[in-house]
Amino acid sequence: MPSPPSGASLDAAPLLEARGLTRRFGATIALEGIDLAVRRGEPVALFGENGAGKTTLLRLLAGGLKPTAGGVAVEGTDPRRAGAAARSRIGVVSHQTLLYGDLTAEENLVFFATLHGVPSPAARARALLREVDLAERGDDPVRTFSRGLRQRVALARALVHAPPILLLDEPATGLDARSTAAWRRALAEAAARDTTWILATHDVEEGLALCPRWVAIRHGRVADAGSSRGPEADRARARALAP
Amino acid sequence: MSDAAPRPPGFVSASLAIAQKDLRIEGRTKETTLATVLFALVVLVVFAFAFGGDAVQRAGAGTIVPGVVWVTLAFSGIVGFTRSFRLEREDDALAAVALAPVDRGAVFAGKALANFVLLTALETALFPLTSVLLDVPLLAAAAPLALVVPLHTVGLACLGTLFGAVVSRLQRGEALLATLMLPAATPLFLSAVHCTASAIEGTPLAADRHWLLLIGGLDVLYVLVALLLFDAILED
Repeated sequence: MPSPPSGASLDAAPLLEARGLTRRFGATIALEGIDLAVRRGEPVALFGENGAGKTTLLRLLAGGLKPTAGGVAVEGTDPRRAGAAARSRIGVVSHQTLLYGDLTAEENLVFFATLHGVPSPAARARALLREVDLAERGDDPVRTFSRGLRQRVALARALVHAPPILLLDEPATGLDARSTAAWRRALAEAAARDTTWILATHDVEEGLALCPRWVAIRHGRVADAGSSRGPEADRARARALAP
Repeated sequence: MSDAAPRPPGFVSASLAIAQKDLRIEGRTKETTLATVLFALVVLVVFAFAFGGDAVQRAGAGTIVPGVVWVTLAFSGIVGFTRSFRLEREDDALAAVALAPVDRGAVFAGKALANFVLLTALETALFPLTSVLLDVPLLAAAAPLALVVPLHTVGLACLGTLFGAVVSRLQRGEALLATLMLPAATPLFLSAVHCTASAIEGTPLAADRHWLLLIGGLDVLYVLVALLLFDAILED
């Protein structure tokens, strides 16, 4: 189980901050008034039932969705104003892999490394494939991979530009033990490079293990929050959220 | 990663990377090429059967062929434009592209460039097929056609890419592509048919300069509108 980034790297200023974040889809309120600050070296687990608003929150934080009200700051900058610069600070892993099935794993990583302006994209792609334990499958089309293998390539894609922030939307759902272990190993290596993440998950134990803080979302609002490293009562409240 | 910090690519580099990716996928799957060429072949056979060689000879190639060619290109193109964004939405890879620190106009430009190349490849097959199936000699018109056809293909690729992106966001939106795109492309098709007819009939291109100016202006307009709108199209 990877440890979250060292607390020694904690900074005072939030790496990522949401203020009064609200999003409506027509008459439906998906999120309302979410305040959240994520500091460097302090990953946060997001718990909540299906439809609670976790995915919407991550999409808003990534800048892929426009808030109805409120705002997001990435390292103090509004990503909607900073645009490309803010986008380069974030990596996303979602339920879907965000990969091209007809390209090989290496071609996918080289393509995204190129779009992120990574020097030596091919070398970076090969290094990441080794990191997610897929060096031998780099020349195979992603379409031929199992879900577990695809998610490992997806994590490599999210890490291709070494972002300080990872937004992880149930990345380990449906993975077998080997894929889960490889995935966690890669996350541990990212943590060692001072990467911080927000992990939306239904697996409360995983969330508590990977993140020192947790936030529960219910009906689009922050319903509860606590520490995974603090009093047992905090962890017990989080476990009570498990279905 | 190497010590050098990532430096996002410029507009042209990003566009070329995206076009190269689309063409690489097409080179591997050949789905668009097969679908569009087959569709074009079927349409041409139906037209050839409907008109017959005599009717084309009586009416003149310049009267029949331009309409046949551009109707075939329009509908075959729609098949290709639909596929172009289906591969982006299949596993939502476009979301990862939209999160890259590149100008979103470059995403449009790259996809439009790939569509232009695929349409040009289709045209390269379409004109000889038309010549054979409708029994009309088109070789003599090759030089003016080589100017007129790409000029209109730019506009068609831009519109197809723009509307392809719009409808790819909608449930069952692919069915809407023709409904949205064809009306917007009407001036382009009018100019295309007129200029192609002139090329086939051997009329000097200078006589069509107002049409050529129109299509040049439309190409610029379509590109500018797409570049302005594409950022909003990629976001919800």
